[in-house]
Amino acid sequence: MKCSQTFFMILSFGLILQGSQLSAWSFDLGTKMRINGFLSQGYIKSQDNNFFGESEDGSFQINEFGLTLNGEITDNLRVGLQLLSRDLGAEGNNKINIDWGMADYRWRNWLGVRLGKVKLPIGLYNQGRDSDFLRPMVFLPQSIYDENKRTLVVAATGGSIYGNLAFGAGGDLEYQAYYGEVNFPEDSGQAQGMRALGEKMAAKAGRRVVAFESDNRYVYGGSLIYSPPVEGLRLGVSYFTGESEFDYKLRNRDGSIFRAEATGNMKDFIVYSAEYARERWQISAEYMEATPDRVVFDKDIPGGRSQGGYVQVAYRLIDPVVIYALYDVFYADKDDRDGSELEARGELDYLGWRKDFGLGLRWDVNDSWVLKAEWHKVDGAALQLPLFNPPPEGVKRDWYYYVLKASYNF
Amino acid sequence: MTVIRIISILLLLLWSGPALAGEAVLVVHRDNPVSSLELADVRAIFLGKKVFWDDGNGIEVLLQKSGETHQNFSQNTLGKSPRQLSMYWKRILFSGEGLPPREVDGDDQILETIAANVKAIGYVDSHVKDNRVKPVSIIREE
Repeated sequence: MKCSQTFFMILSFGLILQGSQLSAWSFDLGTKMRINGFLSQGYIKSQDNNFFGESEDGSFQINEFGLTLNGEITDNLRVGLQLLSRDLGAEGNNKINIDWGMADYRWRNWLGVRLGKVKLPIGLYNQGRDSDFLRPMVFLPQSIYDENKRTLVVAATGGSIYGNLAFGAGGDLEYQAYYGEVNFPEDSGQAQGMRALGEKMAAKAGRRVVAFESDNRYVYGGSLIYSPPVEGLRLGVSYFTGESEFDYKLRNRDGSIFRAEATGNMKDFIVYSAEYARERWQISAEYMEATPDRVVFDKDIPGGRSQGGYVQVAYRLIDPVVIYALYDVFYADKDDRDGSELEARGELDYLGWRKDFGLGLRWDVNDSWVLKAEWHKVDGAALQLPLFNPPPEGVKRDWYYYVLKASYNF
Repeated sequence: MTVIRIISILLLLLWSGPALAGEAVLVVHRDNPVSSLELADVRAIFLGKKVFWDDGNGIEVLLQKSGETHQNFSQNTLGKSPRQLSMYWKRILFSGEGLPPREVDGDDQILETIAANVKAIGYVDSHVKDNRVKPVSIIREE
Protein backbone atom coordinates (compact mmCIF):
# COMPACT_ATOMS: atom_id res chain seq x y z
CA MET A 1 0.00 0.00 0.00
CA LYS A 2 2.75 2.38 1.02
CA CYS A 3 4.84 1.56 -2.03
CA SER A 4 1.91 2.06 -4.36
CA GLN A 5 1.08 5.41 -2.74
CA THR A 6 4.65 6.58 -3.15
CA PHE A 7 4.69 5.31 -6.72
CA PHE A 8 1.45 7.17 -7.45
CA MET A 9 2.89 10.37 -6.03
CA ILE A 10 6.07 10.09 -8.08
CA LEU A 11 4.07 9.27 -11.21
CA SER A 12 1.78 12.28 -10.68
CA PHE A 13 4.73 14.56 -10.22
CA GLY A 14 6.43 13.08 -13.26
CA LEU A 15 3.39 13.92 -15.36
CA ILE A 16 3.24 17.44 -13.98
CA LEU A 17 6.93 17.99 -14.67
CA GLN A 18 6.50 16.60 -18.17
CA GLY A 19 3.58 18.96 -18.79
CA SER A 20 5.40 21.94 -17.37
CA GLN A 21 8.51 21.28 -19.47
CA LEU A 22 10.53 21.54 -16.30
CA SER A 23 9.77 25.18 -15.72
CA ALA A 24 7.38 27.25 -13.63
CA TRP A 25 3.92 27.80 -15.07
CA SER A 26 2.33 31.13 -15.50
CA PHE A 27 -1.16 31.46 -16.91
CA ASP A 28 -3.14 34.54 -17.70
CA LEU A 29 -6.68 33.44 -17.01
CA GLY A 30 -8.05 36.84 -16.06
CA THR A 31 -6.43 36.09 -12.74
CA LYS A 32 -2.74 35.24 -12.61
CA MET A 33 -2.18 31.68 -11.56
CA ARG A 34 0.98 29.77 -10.82
CA ILE A 35 1.77 26.16 -10.14
CA ASN A 36 5.02 25.14 -8.46
CA GLY A 37 6.16 22.07 -6.62
CA PHE A 38 8.93 20.01 -5.15
CA LEU A 39 9.89 16.47 -4.38
CA SER A 40 12.69 15.01 -2.34
CA GLN A 41 13.88 11.57 -1.38
CA GLY A 42 16.44 10.70 1.24
CA TYR A 43 18.19 7.79 2.85
CA ILE A 44 18.92 7.73 6.59
CA LYS A 45 21.15 5.28 8.44
CA SER A 46 21.94 5.40 12.11
CA GLN A 47 24.15 3.49 14.50
CA ASP A 48 23.30 2.58 18.14
CA ASN A 49 19.85 4.19 18.14
CA ASN A 50 16.91 4.41 15.78
CA PHE A 51 16.08 7.96 14.75
CA PHE A 52 12.58 8.26 13.19
CA GLY A 53 11.67 4.71 12.25
CA GLU A 54 13.95 1.76 11.63
CA SER A 55 16.97 3.85 10.70
CA GLU A 56 19.53 1.43 12.16
CA ASP A 57 18.77 -0.86 9.22
CA GLY A 58 18.92 2.08 6.81
CA SER A 59 15.64 3.67 5.71
CA PHE A 60 14.23 5.41 2.65
CA GLN A 61 11.25 6.60 4.70
CA ILE A 62 12.34 10.21 4.49
CA ASN A 63 10.74 12.18 1.66
CA GLU A 64 8.56 15.18 0.82
CA PHE A 65 6.31 15.95 -2.14
CA GLY A 66 4.62 19.33 -2.45
CA LEU A 67 2.36 20.96 -5.00
CA THR A 68 1.77 24.70 -4.68
CA LEU A 69 -1.03 26.66 -6.34
CA ASN A 70 -1.29 30.44 -6.23
CA GLY A 71 -3.78 32.81 -7.76
CA GLU A 72 -3.36 36.59 -7.74
CA ILE A 73 -6.89 37.96 -7.83
CA THR A 74 -6.09 41.67 -7.45
CA ASP A 75 -3.09 43.78 -6.37
CA ASN A 76 -4.26 43.20 -2.79
CA LEU A 77 -5.71 39.70 -2.80
CA ARG A 78 -4.03 36.34 -3.33
CA VAL A 79 -5.34 32.85 -2.72
CA GLY A 80 -2.99 29.91 -2.36
CA LEU A 81 -2.76 26.28 -1.38
CA GLN A 82 0.05 23.81 -0.86
CA LEU A 83 -0.56 20.06 -0.81
CA LEU A 84 2.08 18.11 1.02
CA SER A 85 2.82 14.43 1.26
CA ARG A 86 5.69 13.43 3.50
CA ASP A 87 7.19 10.46 5.22
CA LEU A 88 9.54 10.39 8.17
CA GLY A 89 9.74 6.94 9.70
CA ALA A 90 6.39 6.11 11.29
CA GLU A 91 5.07 9.63 10.70
CA GLY A 92 3.38 10.92 7.58
CA ASN A 93 3.33 7.75 5.45
CA ASN A 94 2.81 9.88 2.34
CA LYS A 95 -0.76 10.79 3.14
CA ILE A 96 -1.66 13.98 1.28
CA ASN A 97 -2.44 16.94 3.53
CA ILE A 98 -3.07 20.62 3.08
CA ASP A 99 0.21 22.12 4.28
CA TRP A 100 -1.13 25.65 4.02
CA GLY A 101 -4.13 27.15 2.26
CA MET A 102 -5.29 30.72 2.63
CA ALA A 103 -6.67 33.97 1.36
CA ASP A 104 -4.06 36.69 1.80
CA TYR A 105 -5.23 40.31 1.75
CA ARG A 106 -2.45 42.91 1.75
CA TRP A 107 -3.96 46.28 2.59
CA ARG A 108 -0.80 48.35 2.98
CA ASN A 109 2.93 47.63 3.12
CA TRP A 110 2.58 47.62 6.90
CA LEU A 111 -0.59 45.53 7.20
CA GLY A 112 -1.92 42.35 5.66
CA VAL A 113 -4.30 39.62 6.84
CA ARG A 114 -4.20 35.90 6.09
CA LEU A 115 -7.17 33.64 6.75
CA GLY A 116 -7.16 29.86 6.46
CA LYS A 117 -4.40 27.43 7.30
CA VAL A 118 -1.28 29.54 7.83
CA LYS A 119 2.34 28.55 8.46
CA LEU A 120 3.66 29.66 11.83
CA PRO A 121 6.69 31.94 12.10
CA ILE A 122 8.88 30.34 14.77
CA GLY A 123 12.58 31.11 14.62
CA LEU A 124 13.93 32.03 11.20
CA TYR A 125 13.23 28.74 9.42
CA ASN A 126 9.96 27.18 10.64
CA GLN A 127 7.83 28.39 7.75
CA GLY A 128 10.11 26.78 5.18
CA ARG A 129 10.73 23.56 7.13
CA ASP A 130 8.79 21.26 4.79
CA SER A 131 10.83 21.93 1.65
CA ASP A 132 14.21 20.23 1.66
CA PHE A 133 15.97 22.76 -0.60
CA LEU A 134 15.00 25.63 1.74
CA ARG A 135 16.78 24.01 4.69
CA PRO A 136 20.57 24.28 4.84
CA MET A 137 21.03 20.69 6.05
CA VAL A 138 18.55 17.79 5.71
CA PHE A 139 17.27 18.27 9.27
CA LEU A 140 16.87 21.70 10.79
CA PRO A 141 18.56 21.91 14.23
CA GLN A 142 16.39 19.73 16.45
CA SER A 143 16.73 21.85 19.59
CA ILE A 144 14.38 24.39 18.01
CA TYR A 145 12.82 22.56 15.06
CA ASP A 146 12.13 19.21 16.78
CA GLU A 147 10.49 16.94 14.19
CA ASN A 148 8.40 15.30 16.94
CA LYS A 149 6.68 18.61 17.65
CA ARG A 150 6.26 19.51 13.99
CA THR A 151 2.48 19.01 13.80
CA LEU A 152 1.89 21.35 16.73
CA VAL A 153 4.07 24.17 15.46
CA VAL A 154 4.08 23.97 11.66
CA ALA A 155 0.72 25.52 10.70
CA ALA A 156 -2.65 26.41 12.23
CA THR A 157 -6.16 26.91 10.92
CA GLY A 158 -7.14 30.41 11.88
CA GLY A 159 -5.53 33.62 10.81
CA SER A 160 -2.65 35.99 11.05
CA ILE A 161 -1.81 39.64 10.58
CA TYR A 162 1.53 40.70 9.19
CA GLY A 163 3.38 43.58 7.63
CA ASN A 164 6.62 45.40 7.09
CA LEU A 165 7.63 48.59 8.86
CA ALA A 166 10.35 50.47 6.98
CA PHE A 167 12.66 52.85 8.85
CA GLY A 168 14.59 54.11 5.81
CA ALA A 169 18.26 54.02 6.63
CA GLY A 170 17.41 52.37 9.96
CA GLY A 171 16.45 49.08 8.31
CA ASP A 172 13.06 47.37 8.44
CA LEU A 173 10.96 45.22 10.74
CA GLU A 174 8.75 42.32 9.64
CA TYR A 175 6.05 41.30 12.08
CA GLN A 176 3.47 38.49 12.22
CA ALA A 177 0.90 37.53 14.85
CA TYR A 178 -1.42 34.51 14.62
CA TYR A 179 -4.17 32.58 16.38
CA GLY A 180 -5.59 29.23 15.36
CA GLU A 181 -6.12 25.57 15.94
CA VAL A 182 -4.07 22.52 14.97
CA ASN A 183 -5.33 19.03 14.24
CA PHE A 184 -2.88 16.27 15.09
CA PRO A 185 -2.78 13.15 13.05
CA GLU A 186 -2.61 10.12 15.38
CA ASP A 187 0.79 9.15 13.95
CA SER A 188 2.37 12.51 14.78
CA GLY A 189 5.26 12.60 17.21
CA GLN A 190 3.25 14.84 19.50
CA ALA A 191 0.28 12.42 19.75
CA GLN A 192 2.55 9.36 19.93
CA GLY A 193 4.56 10.93 22.75
CA MET A 194 1.43 11.67 24.81
CA ARG A 195 0.02 8.20 24.13
CA ALA A 196 3.30 6.61 25.29
CA LEU A 197 3.27 8.76 28.42
CA GLY A 198 -0.32 7.71 29.17
CA GLU A 199 0.56 4.06 28.61
CA LYS A 200 3.48 4.31 31.00
CA MET A 201 1.38 5.93 33.72
CA ALA A 202 -1.51 3.51 33.21
CA ALA A 203 0.82 0.49 33.41
CA LYS A 204 2.00 1.61 36.85
CA ALA A 205 -1.60 1.32 38.05
CA GLY A 206 -2.06 -2.01 36.27
CA ARG A 207 -4.19 -0.50 33.48
CA ARG A 208 -3.95 -0.53 29.71
CA VAL A 209 -4.71 2.18 27.15
CA VAL A 210 -7.23 0.75 24.68
CA ALA A 211 -8.15 3.93 22.79
CA PHE A 212 -6.60 7.35 22.41
CA GLU A 213 -7.64 10.65 20.81
CA SER A 214 -5.90 13.98 20.59
CA ASP A 215 -7.35 17.41 20.05
CA ASN A 216 -5.61 20.75 19.95
CA ARG A 217 -7.50 23.63 21.56
CA TYR A 218 -5.52 26.62 20.36
CA VAL A 219 -2.16 28.02 19.42
CA TYR A 220 -1.15 31.67 19.31
CA GLY A 221 2.01 33.67 18.96
CA GLY A 222 4.01 36.01 16.79
CA SER A 223 7.39 36.96 15.46
CA LEU A 224 9.51 40.04 14.79
CA ILE A 225 12.40 40.01 12.34
CA TYR A 226 14.58 43.10 12.16
CA SER A 227 16.91 43.67 9.22
CA PRO A 228 19.28 46.42 10.40
CA PRO A 229 21.27 48.51 7.94
CA VAL A 230 24.11 46.00 8.11
CA GLU A 231 24.23 43.97 4.93
CA GLY A 232 23.44 40.29 5.48
CA LEU A 233 22.27 40.58 9.11
CA ARG A 234 18.84 39.49 10.41
CA LEU A 235 17.75 39.45 14.04
CA GLY A 236 14.56 37.83 15.25
CA VAL A 237 12.45 36.94 18.22
CA SER A 238 9.37 34.72 18.18
CA TYR A 239 6.83 33.50 20.72
CA PHE A 240 4.44 30.52 20.67
CA THR A 241 1.96 28.99 23.11
CA GLY A 242 -0.36 26.06 22.45
CA GLU A 243 -2.67 23.87 24.47
CA SER A 244 -3.89 20.39 23.55
CA GLU A 245 -6.20 17.84 25.12
CA PHE A 246 -5.90 14.07 24.99
CA ASP A 247 -8.59 11.48 25.76
CA TYR A 248 -7.72 7.94 26.78
CA LYS A 249 -9.85 4.88 27.29
CA LEU A 250 -8.26 2.71 29.98
CA ARG A 251 -8.98 -0.91 30.86
CA ASN A 252 -8.70 -2.01 34.49
CA ARG A 253 -7.43 -5.45 35.47
CA ASP A 254 -11.06 -6.54 36.04
CA GLY A 255 -11.89 -5.62 32.44
CA SER A 256 -13.90 -2.48 33.24
CA ILE A 257 -13.23 0.50 31.00
CA PHE A 258 -13.15 4.15 31.95
CA ARG A 259 -12.11 7.44 30.41
CA ALA A 260 -9.25 9.63 31.50
CA GLU A 261 -7.84 12.90 30.24
CA ALA A 262 -4.54 14.64 29.79
CA THR A 263 -3.50 18.11 28.72
CA GLY A 264 -0.21 18.92 27.05
CA ASN A 265 0.72 22.56 26.79
CA MET A 266 3.65 24.04 24.99
CA LYS A 267 3.91 27.25 26.95
CA ASP A 268 5.99 30.33 26.32
CA PHE A 269 8.11 28.81 23.54
CA ILE A 270 10.44 31.70 22.82
CA VAL A 271 13.20 31.79 20.19
CA TYR A 272 15.89 34.44 19.70
CA SER A 273 17.55 34.32 16.29
CA ALA A 274 20.51 35.83 14.45
CA GLU A 275 21.76 35.22 10.94
CA TYR A 276 24.71 36.87 9.26
CA ALA A 277 25.55 36.19 5.63
CA ARG A 278 28.66 37.67 4.02
CA GLU A 279 30.19 36.57 0.73
CA ARG A 280 31.23 32.95 1.27
CA TRP A 281 30.16 32.69 4.92
CA GLN A 282 26.85 32.37 6.65
CA ILE A 283 26.49 32.04 10.41
CA SER A 284 23.14 31.27 12.05
CA ALA A 285 22.52 31.00 15.77
CA GLU A 286 19.25 30.57 17.64
CA TYR A 287 18.34 30.10 21.29
CA MET A 288 15.09 28.72 22.71
CA GLU A 289 13.23 28.07 25.91
CA ALA A 290 9.83 26.38 26.32
CA THR A 291 7.72 24.82 29.04
CA PRO A 292 6.13 21.47 28.17
CA ASP A 293 3.45 21.74 30.81
CA ARG A 294 1.74 18.31 30.94
CA VAL A 295 -0.96 16.93 33.22
CA VAL A 296 -1.77 13.24 32.69
CA PHE A 297 -4.66 11.61 34.61
CA ASP A 298 -4.69 14.57 37.06
CA LYS A 299 -0.96 14.21 37.80
CA ASP A 300 1.58 16.89 36.90
CA ILE A 301 4.43 15.46 34.87
CA PRO A 302 7.68 16.88 36.21
CA GLY A 303 9.38 18.68 33.38
CA GLY A 304 10.62 22.15 34.13
CA ARG A 305 11.59 24.56 31.37
CA SER A 306 13.49 23.19 28.40
CA GLN A 307 16.37 25.09 26.85
CA GLY A 308 18.31 24.75 23.63
CA GLY A 309 20.17 26.40 20.83
CA TYR A 310 22.62 25.97 18.03
CA VAL A 311 25.33 27.58 15.97
CA GLN A 312 25.57 26.67 12.31
CA VAL A 313 28.39 27.84 10.08
CA ALA A 314 28.18 27.55 6.31
CA TYR A 315 31.09 28.13 3.94
CA ARG A 316 30.75 28.23 0.16
CA LEU A 317 33.65 26.22 -1.22
CA ILE A 318 32.88 26.90 -4.87
CA ASP A 319 29.74 28.56 -6.18
CA PRO A 320 27.30 25.63 -6.04
CA VAL A 321 28.89 23.72 -3.13
CA VAL A 322 28.45 24.70 0.52
CA ILE A 323 29.84 22.87 3.56
CA TYR A 324 28.18 23.07 6.97
CA ALA A 325 29.18 22.56 10.57
CA LEU A 326 26.51 22.44 13.26
CA TYR A 327 26.56 22.28 17.03
CA ASP A 328 23.07 21.87 18.45
CA VAL A 329 22.21 21.41 22.14
CA PHE A 330 18.92 20.69 23.89
CA TYR A 331 18.21 20.25 27.61
CA ALA A 332 14.80 18.88 28.63
CA ASP A 333 15.02 20.85 31.89
CA LYS A 334 17.37 23.80 32.13
CA ASP A 335 17.60 23.31 35.90
CA ASP A 336 18.57 19.66 35.50
CA ARG A 337 21.11 19.74 32.67
CA ASP A 338 23.03 16.71 33.95
CA GLY A 339 19.84 14.66 34.35
CA SER A 340 20.43 13.99 38.05
CA GLU A 341 16.79 14.67 38.94
CA LEU A 342 15.69 12.32 36.17
CA GLU A 343 18.03 9.68 37.54
CA ALA A 344 16.62 10.20 41.03
CA ARG A 345 13.16 9.43 39.59
CA GLY A 346 14.48 6.16 38.17
CA GLU A 347 14.94 7.43 34.59
CA LEU A 348 18.08 7.48 32.47
CA ASP A 349 19.99 10.71 33.08
CA TYR A 350 20.85 11.10 29.38
CA LEU A 351 17.16 11.52 28.51
CA GLY A 352 17.79 15.01 29.86
CA TRP A 353 20.00 16.25 27.01
CA ARG A 354 20.83 15.96 23.32
CA LYS A 355 24.08 17.36 21.90
CA ASP A 356 24.35 16.99 18.13
CA PHE A 357 27.54 17.73 16.23
CA GLY A 358 26.99 17.61 12.48
CA LEU A 359 29.00 18.11 9.29
CA GLY A 360 27.26 18.43 5.95
CA LEU A 361 27.67 19.21 2.29
CA ARG A 362 25.10 20.75 -0.03
CA TRP A 363 25.45 20.88 -3.80
CA ASP A 364 23.01 23.07 -5.73
CA VAL A 365 23.45 21.27 -9.03
CA ASN A 366 21.30 23.87 -10.80
CA ASP A 367 18.28 26.04 -9.98
CA SER A 368 16.09 22.95 -9.55
CA TRP A 369 18.24 20.14 -8.17
CA VAL A 370 19.90 19.97 -4.75
CA LEU A 371 21.98 17.10 -3.37
CA LYS A 372 22.92 16.82 0.31
CA ALA A 373 25.05 14.53 2.45
CA GLU A 374 25.65 14.86 6.18
CA TRP A 375 26.91 13.04 9.23
CA HIS A 376 26.01 13.59 12.89
CA LYS A 377 27.42 12.42 16.19
CA VAL A 378 24.97 12.70 19.08
CA ASP A 379 25.41 12.54 22.84
CA GLY A 380 22.12 12.10 24.72
CA ALA A 381 18.62 10.86 24.01
CA ALA A 382 16.24 13.73 24.79
CA LEU A 383 13.47 14.73 22.35
CA GLN A 384 11.45 11.51 22.44
CA LEU A 385 14.22 9.15 21.31
CA PRO A 386 12.84 6.28 23.51
CA LEU A 387 9.78 6.29 21.19
CA PHE A 388 11.93 4.79 18.43
CA ASN A 389 14.01 2.60 20.74
CA PRO A 390 11.66 0.60 22.96
CA PRO A 391 12.84 -2.12 25.35
CA PRO A 392 14.45 -4.60 25.44
CA GLU A 393 17.12 -2.89 23.29
CA GLY A 394 16.31 0.49 24.80
CA VAL A 395 17.89 3.81 24.08
CA LYS A 396 21.65 4.45 24.19
CA ARG A 397 23.55 7.60 25.09
CA ASP A 398 26.08 7.90 22.24
CA TRP A 399 24.90 7.38 18.70
CA TYR A 400 25.43 8.47 15.09
CA TYR A 401 23.41 9.05 11.97
CA TYR A 402 24.04 10.04 8.39
CA VAL A 403 21.61 11.20 5.72
CA LEU A 404 21.74 11.49 1.94
CA LYS A 405 19.06 13.42 0.13
CA ALA A 406 18.16 14.63 -3.37
CA SER A 407 15.48 17.20 -4.05
CA TYR A 408 13.91 18.82 -7.06
CA ASN A 409 11.77 21.93 -7.27
CA PHE A 410 10.05 23.79 -10.08
CA MET B 1 53.49 57.21 -30.95
CA THR B 2 53.34 57.07 -27.16
CA VAL B 3 51.01 60.12 -27.15
CA ILE B 4 48.60 58.38 -29.56
CA ARG B 5 48.65 55.28 -27.34
CA ILE B 6 47.84 57.35 -24.23
CA ILE B 7 45.04 59.22 -26.02
CA SER B 8 43.61 55.89 -27.26
CA ILE B 9 43.62 54.49 -23.73
CA LEU B 10 42.02 57.66 -22.35
CA LEU B 11 39.32 57.56 -25.04
CA LEU B 12 38.69 53.91 -24.29
CA LEU B 13 38.37 54.65 -20.58
CA LEU B 14 36.01 57.57 -21.24
CA TRP B 15 33.87 55.40 -23.50
CA SER B 16 33.61 52.46 -21.13
CA GLY B 17 33.82 54.32 -17.84
CA PRO B 18 30.30 55.54 -17.22
CA ALA B 19 28.51 52.37 -18.29
CA LEU B 20 30.22 49.00 -18.40
CA ALA B 21 28.53 46.25 -20.38
CA GLY B 22 25.95 44.43 -18.26
CA GLU B 23 25.61 47.25 -15.75
CA ALA B 24 21.97 47.54 -14.76
CA VAL B 25 19.76 50.58 -14.68
CA LEU B 26 16.38 50.64 -13.00
CA VAL B 27 13.44 51.51 -15.28
CA VAL B 28 9.74 52.30 -14.89
CA HIS B 29 6.95 53.32 -17.28
CA ARG B 30 7.47 56.86 -18.59
CA ASP B 31 4.16 57.95 -16.96
CA ASN B 32 5.25 56.67 -13.55
CA PRO B 33 5.92 59.78 -11.39
CA VAL B 34 8.90 58.11 -9.68
CA SER B 35 12.30 59.24 -10.92
CA SER B 36 14.54 58.28 -7.99
CA LEU B 37 14.44 55.76 -5.14
CA GLU B 38 16.48 55.25 -2.00
CA LEU B 39 18.57 52.07 -2.09
CA ALA B 40 16.60 50.75 0.92
CA ASP B 41 13.35 51.18 -1.05
CA VAL B 42 14.76 49.42 -4.12
CA ARG B 43 15.75 46.46 -1.96
CA ALA B 44 12.38 46.47 -0.19
CA ILE B 45 10.60 46.43 -3.57
CA PHE B 46 12.67 43.61 -5.07
CA LEU B 47 12.45 41.56 -1.85
CA GLY B 48 8.67 41.89 -1.59
CA LYS B 49 8.68 44.02 1.55
CA LYS B 50 7.32 47.14 -0.18
CA VAL B 51 4.49 46.10 -2.48
CA PHE B 52 2.64 49.38 -3.09
CA TRP B 53 3.70 52.61 -4.78
CA ASP B 54 3.10 55.75 -2.74
CA ASP B 55 -0.15 56.34 -4.69
CA GLY B 56 -1.50 53.00 -3.40
CA ASN B 57 -1.15 51.03 -6.64
CA GLY B 58 0.48 47.60 -6.42
CA ILE B 59 4.05 47.37 -7.71
CA GLU B 60 4.64 44.78 -10.43
CA VAL B 61 8.25 43.68 -10.04
CA LEU B 62 10.09 42.13 -12.97
CA LEU B 63 13.26 40.08 -12.71
CA GLN B 64 15.47 38.92 -15.56
CA LYS B 65 15.88 35.14 -15.67
CA SER B 66 19.65 35.20 -16.05
CA GLY B 67 22.49 37.08 -17.72
CA GLU B 68 25.10 39.63 -16.83
CA THR B 69 22.62 42.45 -16.18
CA HIS B 70 20.71 40.25 -13.75
CA GLN B 71 23.94 39.16 -12.06
CA ASN B 72 25.04 42.77 -11.61
CA PHE B 73 21.68 44.03 -10.39
CA SER B 74 21.26 41.18 -7.94
CA GLN B 75 24.77 41.45 -6.54
CA ASN B 76 25.45 45.19 -6.66
CA THR B 77 22.01 46.59 -5.90
CA LEU B 78 20.26 43.91 -3.85
CA GLY B 79 23.42 42.62 -2.17
CA LYS B 80 22.58 38.98 -2.94
CA SER B 81 23.99 36.55 -5.48
CA PRO B 82 21.43 35.41 -8.09
CA ARG B 83 21.31 32.03 -6.28
CA GLN B 84 20.63 33.69 -2.92
CA LEU B 85 17.94 35.86 -4.51
CA SER B 86 16.29 32.84 -6.09
CA MET B 87 16.38 30.94 -2.77
CA TYR B 88 14.97 33.99 -0.93
CA TRP B 89 11.93 33.99 -3.21
CA LYS B 90 11.49 30.22 -3.08
CA ARG B 91 11.33 30.46 0.71
CA ILE B 92 8.51 33.01 0.41
CA LEU B 93 6.70 31.02 -2.29
CA PHE B 94 6.75 27.61 -0.62
CA SER B 95 5.92 28.90 2.86
CA GLY B 96 2.80 30.62 1.52
CA GLU B 97 3.98 34.13 2.31
CA GLY B 98 3.79 35.51 -1.20
CA LEU B 99 4.49 35.21 -4.90
CA PRO B 100 7.91 35.76 -6.45
CA PRO B 101 8.22 38.47 -9.11
CA ARG B 102 7.64 37.51 -12.73
CA GLU B 103 10.82 36.43 -14.49
CA VAL B 104 11.30 37.51 -18.09
CA ASP B 105 13.92 36.92 -20.79
CA GLY B 106 16.24 39.84 -21.20
CA ASP B 107 15.96 43.58 -21.80
CA ASP B 108 13.43 43.47 -24.66
CA GLN B 109 10.80 41.66 -22.61
CA ILE B 110 11.38 43.98 -19.66
CA LEU B 111 10.86 47.00 -21.92
CA GLU B 112 7.72 45.59 -23.52
CA THR B 113 6.16 44.60 -20.21
CA ILE B 114 6.88 47.96 -18.61
CA ALA B 115 5.67 49.85 -21.71
CA ALA B 116 2.31 48.08 -21.22
CA ASN B 117 2.11 48.46 -17.43
CA VAL B 118 2.46 51.77 -15.61
CA LYS B 119 2.83 49.93 -12.26
CA ALA B 120 5.83 47.83 -13.31
CA ILE B 121 9.49 48.19 -12.41
CA GLY B 122 12.51 46.33 -13.79
CA TYR B 123 16.12 46.75 -14.84
CA VAL B 124 17.91 46.71 -18.16
CA ASP B 125 21.45 47.08 -19.44
CA SER B 126 22.47 50.71 -19.02
CA HIS B 127 23.21 51.04 -22.75
CA VAL B 128 19.60 50.38 -23.66
CA LYS B 129 17.63 53.48 -24.63
CA ASP B 130 13.87 53.34 -25.12
CA ASN B 131 11.51 56.30 -24.76
CA ARG B 132 8.62 54.12 -23.53
CA VAL B 133 10.43 53.79 -20.21
CA LYS B 134 12.43 56.12 -18.03
CA PRO B 135 15.45 55.43 -15.86
CA VAL B 136 15.16 55.67 -12.07
CA SER B 137 18.25 56.79 -10.20
CA ILE B 138 19.17 54.99 -7.02
CA ILE B 139 20.12 57.18 -4.07
CA ARG B 140 22.90 55.42 -2.21
CA GLU B 141 23.77 56.92 1.16
CA GLU B 142 27.46 56.83 1.80
